[in-house]
Amino acid sequence: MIAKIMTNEWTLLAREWATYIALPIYAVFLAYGVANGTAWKSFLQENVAEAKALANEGFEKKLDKIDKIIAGEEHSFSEDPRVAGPLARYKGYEFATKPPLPTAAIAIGQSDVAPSYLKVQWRPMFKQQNVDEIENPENLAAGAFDLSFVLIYLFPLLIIALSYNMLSAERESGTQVLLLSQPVPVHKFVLAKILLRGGLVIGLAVGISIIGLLISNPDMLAPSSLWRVGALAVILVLYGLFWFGVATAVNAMGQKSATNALVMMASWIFLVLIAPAVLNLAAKSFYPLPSRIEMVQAMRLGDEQAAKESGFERAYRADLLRKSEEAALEASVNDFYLKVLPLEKQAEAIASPIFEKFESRKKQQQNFAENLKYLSPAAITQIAISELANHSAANFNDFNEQVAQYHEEWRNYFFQPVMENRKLSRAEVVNIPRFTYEPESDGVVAGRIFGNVVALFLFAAAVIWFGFTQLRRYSPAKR
Amino acid sequence: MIWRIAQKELLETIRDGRFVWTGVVVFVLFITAIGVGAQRYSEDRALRQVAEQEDRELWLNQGDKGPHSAGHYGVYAFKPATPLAFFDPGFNDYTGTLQYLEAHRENQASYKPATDATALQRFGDLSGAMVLQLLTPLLIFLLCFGMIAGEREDGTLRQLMSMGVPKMKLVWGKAAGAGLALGVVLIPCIFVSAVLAALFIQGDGDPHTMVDFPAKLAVIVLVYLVFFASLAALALSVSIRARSSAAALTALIGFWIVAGLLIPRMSADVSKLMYDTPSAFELADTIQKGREAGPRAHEPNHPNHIAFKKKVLEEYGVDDVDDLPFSFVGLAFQADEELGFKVFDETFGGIRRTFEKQNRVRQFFGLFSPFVAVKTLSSALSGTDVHYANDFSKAGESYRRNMVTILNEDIKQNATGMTQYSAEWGYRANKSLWEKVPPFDFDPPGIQTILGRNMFSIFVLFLWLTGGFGLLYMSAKRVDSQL
Amino acid sequence: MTEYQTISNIRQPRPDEKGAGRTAAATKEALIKAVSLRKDYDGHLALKGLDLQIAPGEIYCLLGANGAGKSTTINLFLDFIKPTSGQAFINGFDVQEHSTETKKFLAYIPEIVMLYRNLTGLENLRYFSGLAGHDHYTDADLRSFLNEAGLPKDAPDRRVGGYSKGMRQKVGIAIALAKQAKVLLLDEPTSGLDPKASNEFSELLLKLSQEGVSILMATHDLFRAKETGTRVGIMRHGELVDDLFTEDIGHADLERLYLEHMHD
Repeated sequence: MIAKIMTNEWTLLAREWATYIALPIYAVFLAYGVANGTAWKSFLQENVAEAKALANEGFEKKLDKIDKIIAGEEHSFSEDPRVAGPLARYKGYEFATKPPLPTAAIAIGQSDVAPSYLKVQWRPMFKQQNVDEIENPENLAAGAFDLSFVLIYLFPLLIIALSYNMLSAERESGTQVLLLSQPVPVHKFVLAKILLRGGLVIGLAVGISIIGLLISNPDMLAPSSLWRVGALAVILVLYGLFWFGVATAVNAMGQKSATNALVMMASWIFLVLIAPAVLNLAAKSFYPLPSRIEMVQAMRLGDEQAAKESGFERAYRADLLRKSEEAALEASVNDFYLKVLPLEKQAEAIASPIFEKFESRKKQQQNFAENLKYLSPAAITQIAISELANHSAANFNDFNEQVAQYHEEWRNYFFQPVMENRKLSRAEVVNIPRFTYEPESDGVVAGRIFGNVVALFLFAAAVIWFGFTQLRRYSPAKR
Repeated sequence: MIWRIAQKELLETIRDGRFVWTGVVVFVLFITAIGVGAQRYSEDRALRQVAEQEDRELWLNQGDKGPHSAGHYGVYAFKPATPLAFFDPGFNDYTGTLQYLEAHRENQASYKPATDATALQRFGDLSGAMVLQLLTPLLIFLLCFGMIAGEREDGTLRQLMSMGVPKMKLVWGKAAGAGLALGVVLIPCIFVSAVLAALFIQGDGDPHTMVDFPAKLAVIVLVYLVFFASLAALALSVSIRARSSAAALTALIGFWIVAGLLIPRMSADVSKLMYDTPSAFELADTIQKGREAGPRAHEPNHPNHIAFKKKVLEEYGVDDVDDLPFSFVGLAFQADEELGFKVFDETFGGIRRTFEKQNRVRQFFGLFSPFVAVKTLSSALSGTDVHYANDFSKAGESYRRNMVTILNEDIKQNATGMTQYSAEWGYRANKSLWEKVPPFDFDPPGIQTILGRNMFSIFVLFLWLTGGFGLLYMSAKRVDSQL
Repeated sequence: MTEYQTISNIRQPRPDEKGAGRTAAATKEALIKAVSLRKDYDGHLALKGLDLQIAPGEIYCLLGANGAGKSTTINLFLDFIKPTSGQAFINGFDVQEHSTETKKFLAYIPEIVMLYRNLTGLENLRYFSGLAGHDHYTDADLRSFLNEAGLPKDAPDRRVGGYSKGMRQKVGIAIALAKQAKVLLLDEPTSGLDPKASNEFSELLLKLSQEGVSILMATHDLFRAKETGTRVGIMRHGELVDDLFTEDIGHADLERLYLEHMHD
């Protein structure tokens, strides 16, 4: 019976000219989103590769110079890369990079505001002048037209357009009384309509997204990516079903089509536009981050206080001037590095409370947002899809933690040589630790996504259950 | 007659539960956003003022040291906000908040708030401007979509026409009614936000942030009025021409989605396609290459340094730097900086020009979406647009240039005859030199600059207004065509 | 869902569909039955305890002013609205409990038959009879139903969007014919039809009643009620104030009686 109703619905839809406009536009948007995401992924790939190449080149040049010096080349003190202090502080650097995963094209997520590569040297990460990606703030604020935008914003709109008058249109056109005088209960009609429209819209969304992604990103054809593709399909189906559930519930109320359209648009605006923005505002208001201004000032005041307490002063070795300028410079530099490291440690210790506060507030804020997202299916979907692309806030936190750890490693590696005021050996330069990014394990990511999927499932199940319960009271008759 | 119709519309609207609830929601959201915005604004302002003072103190009391070391110590510039920013945070989440001004390099303003935000940030900020730019248009559409189409369906329009009500008057009455109903929602909004603003900005006599404040406020109110009026005219025209009220509603919501959501995003893509943003690496590379060609002020043994020395000696016709009437070290520092100025003008200036071109492309899309035009104007007047951020960056940079020039000039004058090492580390200047560098100061652009920069968006908004009312005028003749 | 499952459980004792009409007609057991049927809309009594039995072959015409409760009665038999109290039976089944089941036995023709505009008459008929469980009809069968209902020969393959009200009404009749219903519920089916079409319609009803179909028809047409109906009921303010056999009363008397009831 359901198949029969679906066939009829299909015929009706196929004879509606709007179908031939709406569906192709929707398909084009999906394809455009995939293309945009894929372009973004290769942009990230290039940048990350460039950063890595830059770091490699830096190390290679230094080794080259060291080899020449060992072979007996004439060189000034400042040219020697082996001097631990300058190497640790500004001459040597590593680029800690977060290469995009094969699935990166799914969503741009946070990757346009959170850097995917960070320069690591001695100085605190906070003070590091990063080669920040340059982007027009207006473009950033407008948001990207990526797949996740199409799926989170436009996908429900199409569902609304196709289903807001599932029942009301037939009641208004008068066919419904004849239909319901047939031995078929109303929920079967609704079920058939949802199956057909859902199959069409959700099928198109899942189909074009996945086929498009796989064609333009052949590197996704590996088990570690394919489970993410599967998860994307599940998320899309649940998110789509949620909106069909809303449509069912709204239609079951037996209001006019225009009223249904208004109610559904209002739900969309509330769930997709207002609720996330209000939650964002709440997160920021309940757990305000210490201002970056405060942090910069704390750092600077810390430096100042530490310098005063230790009586730090850059020595001017007038006694050395009689020798040569070169020797004076060398002595002065060595002297500086001996004194400056403990001093910096002290300064950082003075400034650390505000940094700790920043980190803990940031965590609280993120936890708060993580918990509150369960109030809006759109927020859940957004975060889940970003996770799949490895571009969620959590993914970037993890990256930053890895970088912070590596930064510690860098400092530890150089600390002794600097304090001993010596040159590194060639082997020690070769062995300078390098950064490798370890993406969060599939298990961890899947665990987080599982929570989102369950929440989406509950949302969808709840509205569908409510809708179908309401249908029992549905009456085609005007009062 | 018009007044009578308007009154009836207002009465009907107010008795309509849909409108009342939507209005209440808009009111609550607006007040919340303004309240939170105002509170954040005043906190930020307090922090900034303290930081500015502290930073100046640090600069003045950095003790006796070499002027070049002081250049490395540097100064921080904090981006100030004009009071309207709490109404419209504009692009502030995506522009840097402070800029480090030091010797040798032009830094860009860093720490975009968006980097630290949660993923929810991407859904947008709930601000007063967001409520007015995205939600109020929906309220207007809700108000107007059924004004004619609905009466036609109910049959009351036939009645009205049979009684000889002139079509024009009917339409103007409806428009006035829509205006009144909107006023019922927005006037309390404005009133409450004015009170909030007065509470939070109290005591902000800062002449810098208050530049042309009354004029900016007046223009921003005008901008929104024009925006709303255009939308109301459009919505009424659609209501006249649509087959049914449902069709009118669908068309208007479709317009809202396309113009409010799709076009802004697409215009960003198009602008990037037309004017490519250079990559950060390319830029770093250009800067490095440019700087490397300089006199290498810190490296006396570098060939560039030696060549520069030779050139200067020839110019002054002396054999030794000690015979120069000033310190060669100071000159070399300054020459190095001046080369940097040129390099930075090309690179960062180039980026700023690219952004401006991109933004012009985006503004062009205002022809298809008044939402784009109103966002541009509102953020410009609130001091939260990209121009403002660029102005701040440029002010920071010219402050920096002045600072290093003063410092290098001091070396040039006072380190005569000193070796590189002595000039850098032996010579010490004191507070009197630090005082010669004035405190950082930034004047937000005045109303004339803002209007001048945004002529196109003003023009576009004006087009929407005349277009909307032109359409309404023509549609009014067809009020009775579908009876 | 659960509602539907209960219904399928009760399916077993259902009499064989095709033979059922004849057997029922023979025993003269009422196919349409209302027992103290009440409908209360938030304090407004639309129907005040209706008791009614319509036997196979009977054509029962409900007369009454607008708002007298005629459509409410029909909607209650269709289970489109739920009674406040009392029961409605179709072929012995309580319509509320066996909502889907009872619809197998009945056909409904509203005042204005609305069909899918973008489908042809034939496609509409095929869909509706398919929904009723008659998948076995060939196109020729369906065409003959349309023909029997009086639809012009060239019409079945045209889209319904271009049909007149009368033509759509005929497709509605064809749907009822194809369904082989034992019960016909008609809500002012002839209003707005021209006299010829109206007459053809009456003939069809008579033919169906001879085959043992029970018909409940709400109408304003006193003449048609007297001519076609076997019984006439007059409703007023939700009450059946009179119930008589048409053969017992003349046309003029019926009109006088009706007006008397309407008076005051």
